[in-house]
Amino acid sequence: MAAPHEHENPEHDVQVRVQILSPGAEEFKVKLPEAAALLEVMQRGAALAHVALLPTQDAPLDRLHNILKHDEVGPAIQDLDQAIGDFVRQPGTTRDFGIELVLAFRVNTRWAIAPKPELSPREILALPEINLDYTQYSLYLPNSTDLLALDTPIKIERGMAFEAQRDGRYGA
Amino acid sequence: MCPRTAQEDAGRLARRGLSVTLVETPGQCYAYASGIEAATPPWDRPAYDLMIAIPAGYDDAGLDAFYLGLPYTFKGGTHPRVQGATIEINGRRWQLVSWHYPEGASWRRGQDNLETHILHCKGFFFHRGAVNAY
Repeated sequence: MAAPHEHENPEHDVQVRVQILSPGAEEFKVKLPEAAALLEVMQRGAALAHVALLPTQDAPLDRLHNILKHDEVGPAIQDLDQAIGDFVRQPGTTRDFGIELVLAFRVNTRWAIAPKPELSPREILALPEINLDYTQYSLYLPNSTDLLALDTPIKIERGMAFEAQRDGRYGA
Repeated sequence: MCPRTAQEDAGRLARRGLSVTLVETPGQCYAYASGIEAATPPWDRPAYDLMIAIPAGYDDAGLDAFYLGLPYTFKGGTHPRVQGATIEINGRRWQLVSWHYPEGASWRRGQDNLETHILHCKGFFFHRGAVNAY
C-alpha cells in the first residue's frame, strides 16, 4: 500500500511498531503523521504482513490492540478514527500495536465474526449480523447445489462465503 | 421514479460489492444485476444479467420472479420456465422467468430485500431450493 503521508512533515511523525497477533509474527516499524488515524496503522501493518483486512481495509472487522507494558495485549481499540498522536499521548498507552485477525466470514453480502470455530447453518443464520430465519432460508456453499444440513457443524475459515437462499417454485 | 427503499437497498449493496443498478423506464422501475453466476453446463455461460421489476410500493410490496438478459441457451435449447413475456430495455431484450416464492412462504417485509431476492433468483440457475420440478 502507498504511504502518502510518509516524510511529508517528519517533525510531526510518530513511529510505531505493529504486528499481527500470532505467535512468531514479524514486527514492523511504521512512521505516520501524528494526525493519521489509527486505522492507518492497521492498514499499513496488514499490508506489510501481506494480509488482507476483512471485509475491507476501510471498514475492517479485524481489531487493533495496543500492546501494553509487559507485552500485555490491551482491549480492542474502538475508535479507529482517532489520531495516532492523540492516542499515544494518553497515559498508559505505548507505541506498540497488534492486529487481531478475526474469524470473519460472510453470508451473501453480510459479514459476521464466528463466535466459535465450528457453526451449524442454524447457528450461522441466527447470528445477529446475518439474521435470517432458518425456516425460510437454506444455506449453500457458493455455486453449490448441495444443501448444507441445518444442524451439521461446519468448520469456519477466515474469509469463507456462504449463500443463503429462499426456496423457489417454478410457475405455470 | 424508483422507490426510495429500493434506492437505499441498491446503495447498500453497492457498498458491499454487489453491483445493482436501478433502471427507470416509463411506468416501471427495475433493478439490474449483472454477473449472476450459473451452473455450466447446463447453462451456456458462467454468469447472466438479470432485471428485477420493482413495484411502486416496494418493500411493502414484494419482489417476484425476474427477467433474464437474452440470449441464453440451456442444454443447447431453451429452458421450459423461461417462456414469459419479452421486454426491451436500453436496447436489450429480456425474458420473464417463472421463478417464485413457494406457497405459504411469500415475501416478508423486513427480512426479504433486493439482496435476498437476487440470491433467490440465483438459485434458479443451480436448480436449488426448487420445491417443484420443471
